[in-house]
Amino acid sequence: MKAPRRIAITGIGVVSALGSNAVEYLTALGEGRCGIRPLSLFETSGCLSDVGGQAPEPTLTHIARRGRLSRSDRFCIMAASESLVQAGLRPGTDLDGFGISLGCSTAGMLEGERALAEVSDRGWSRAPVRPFLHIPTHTPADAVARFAGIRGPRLSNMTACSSASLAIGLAADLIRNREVKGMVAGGGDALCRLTYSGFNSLRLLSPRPCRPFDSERDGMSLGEGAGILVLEDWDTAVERGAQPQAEFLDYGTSCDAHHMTTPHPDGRGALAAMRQALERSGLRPAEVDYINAHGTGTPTNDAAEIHAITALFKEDLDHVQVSSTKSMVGHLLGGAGGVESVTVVLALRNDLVPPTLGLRRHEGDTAIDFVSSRSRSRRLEVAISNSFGFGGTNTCLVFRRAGGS
Amino acid sequence: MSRRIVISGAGCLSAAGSRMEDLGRALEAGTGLARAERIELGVGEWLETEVARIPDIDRGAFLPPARRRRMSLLSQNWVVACLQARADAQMTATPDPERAGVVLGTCLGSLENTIKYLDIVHHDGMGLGNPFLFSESVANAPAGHAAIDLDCRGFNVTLTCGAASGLMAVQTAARAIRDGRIDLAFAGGIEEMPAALLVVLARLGAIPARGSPVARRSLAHVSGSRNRAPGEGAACFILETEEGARRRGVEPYAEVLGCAAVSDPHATDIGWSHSVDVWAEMMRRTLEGSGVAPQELDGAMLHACGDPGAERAECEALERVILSEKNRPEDFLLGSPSLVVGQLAGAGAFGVAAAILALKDRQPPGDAGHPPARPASERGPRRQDALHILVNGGSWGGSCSGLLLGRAV
Repeated sequence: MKAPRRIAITGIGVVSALGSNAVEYLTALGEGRCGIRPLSLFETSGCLSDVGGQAPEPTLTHIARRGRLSRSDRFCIMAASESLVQAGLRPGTDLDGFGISLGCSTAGMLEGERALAEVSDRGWSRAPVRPFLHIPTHTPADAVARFAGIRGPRLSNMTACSSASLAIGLAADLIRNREVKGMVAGGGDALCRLTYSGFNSLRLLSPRPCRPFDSERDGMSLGEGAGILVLEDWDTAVERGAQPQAEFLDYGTSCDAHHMTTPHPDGRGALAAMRQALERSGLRPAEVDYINAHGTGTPTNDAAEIHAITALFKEDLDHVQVSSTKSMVGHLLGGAGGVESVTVVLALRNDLVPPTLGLRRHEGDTAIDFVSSRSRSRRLEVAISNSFGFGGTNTCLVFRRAGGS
Repeated sequence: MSRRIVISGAGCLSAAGSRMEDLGRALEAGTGLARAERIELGVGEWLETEVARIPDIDRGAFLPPARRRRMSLLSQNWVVACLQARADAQMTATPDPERAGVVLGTCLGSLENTIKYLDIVHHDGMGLGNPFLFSESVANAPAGHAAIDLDCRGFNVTLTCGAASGLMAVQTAARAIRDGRIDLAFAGGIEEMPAALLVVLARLGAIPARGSPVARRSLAHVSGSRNRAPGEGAACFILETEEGARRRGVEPYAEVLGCAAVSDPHATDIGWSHSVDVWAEMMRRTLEGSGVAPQELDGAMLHACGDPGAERAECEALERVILSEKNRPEDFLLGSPSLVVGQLAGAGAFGVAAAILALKDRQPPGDAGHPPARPASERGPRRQDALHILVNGGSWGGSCSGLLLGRAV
């Protein structure tokens, strides 16, 4: 029987409200800078909020027919391009045996909305219909696959806010099962009216930048961008001279089976996902140094996550540090797990625990060590990333420092 | 594969009806179920196209009114298909909820709700969105409802891989069970066909249509239809370990032997793969992963999307990888449920339904599509004892996927 494959992360790429690449992102994480500001992408009048984590305009000067790409496509291509450069893989030539797995929730809805508005005003016979092709959420995966010349499996999932995390987990499964030697995985989403007004209709938007875990938190901030990783079979990667940035150990996933838009109050599903992730990784809770929490800033979500973390870590709570980087870039929905996985890899590589901005006094009497206001410097061996979403889905990813044991 | 995985139950809602027997009869007859539909576009403007719709069925027999009120029609269809599949697998409740998952495939989710929602926001303002329409516009809403109604607390994912979504969902569920993440999954696909989608497809030249003079001018000019008439439907399969099915004394429909997926980076965003090499690679990998030799394969449920270039590539690949290796290729079963229940029905999952019916009931489906549909009475001699059937799937953008099913022993 063959030994299970180890999985190396050989490249990362990120676009967010904090910049268009990993260097800018890391600098902002270290400085504790907030990228959540008043939006200029579309009109928000009538909503509870007018702020969000709007990313810099995605420019792709080197791509042919870029006019046919949606904003989400562009974010994903930019992040994928950066991750491939870091992994030392040239698009179109070095990706034999690679597949792609992306999680997106809005894809080209921003462009689709504009088209629907035209239909509403001009009628179906006169309005352009091509923008509707951006609506299916597999289109960013198609765009990246075309850009990179990927011929292997092409997976796309839309599992709400767990999408990108699940995409990374599913990618790892394909590598472990020896169906591919590597995967480009993660996710991305552009802001759009559908989700902005939708979360507004659910009264979940905060009027100011969100303050996860704060006792006075009052909702979430939406964001946009993409976070993409190159995952490879460890031995193959090292053989070709790649430098692993971190190791992906395993993941756990569950469903609350409780309510469509509200988490189980005890964090039942979140606890199951984290427990499963650690068990499958062969780790005890005490071995986890950092949790990049889902931490949206809504009263119910944060309370459920605190319950789950407290129940899992028990007496080891003082060892683990917790923060939510959504306080800096907003909630990227389908792309959140991608950007937060990049965050975790950067944290492991740089011994940096990023902060939760706006957290002044945490709720309740939990012993969780929340990292607030300023980043902390600490040697990290193992870090996990939580993503929970609509439909009760929960996913937890486990990463280890490259070369850790 | 370390764990043997079987399909022990199925539930399908399609233009053929709401029972597996209805689907079996329709596939056996091999006649397309799409019907002409006229879509009013405004004063004096209209389009007419064909679509295979689910007939009126009593969803209230499965779901109480309070639950139905909280679901879009798409979510209702998926949950009803799941409940049917569970009953078919002789379960009254989901055993071990923590070890049960939902793996759904859909190309577009509830586009109907999304359009309704955005229309309100466009006319009434960003602050007046409808929370019910919004939450049901999320593509994974049906999987979330199914988890609640069936008490599935394990793996829950909604794959959106275009027209191959349903097939990819079955692949992903099989992998999750094989890897020990769950022991049982409700897996399959759903799709709905709102009028807006038909108009978009018609105007892109993706489906045949005719219309009023103004509407006709907006149609893309292509030589002949590039795709088959679309259809709506839901197809759910219970995938579980062979041991689990045996414990309950259930005779499975089929065993999942292996799967593979590849993609064509040269396919356009509104085109299927036209590459014989890509289709052949998918078939070769599926066979290799299953440990089944081309000579042992008895049939294939083809993707057969209607695009001549893609169909030619799929058939040439089949010839190259499988038929050229067989002594009697004329005995090879060929079917394509998309001609019967419509393209996109169940997001590609109806190929699995056709294959399991052929394997369990030893009843080969009609040759819908390849060559053009012929009723059973006109068919030549065919093997009635198929042991291994390949199911092909594909999507715009160039994804090609395969699933190999074997008769459960």
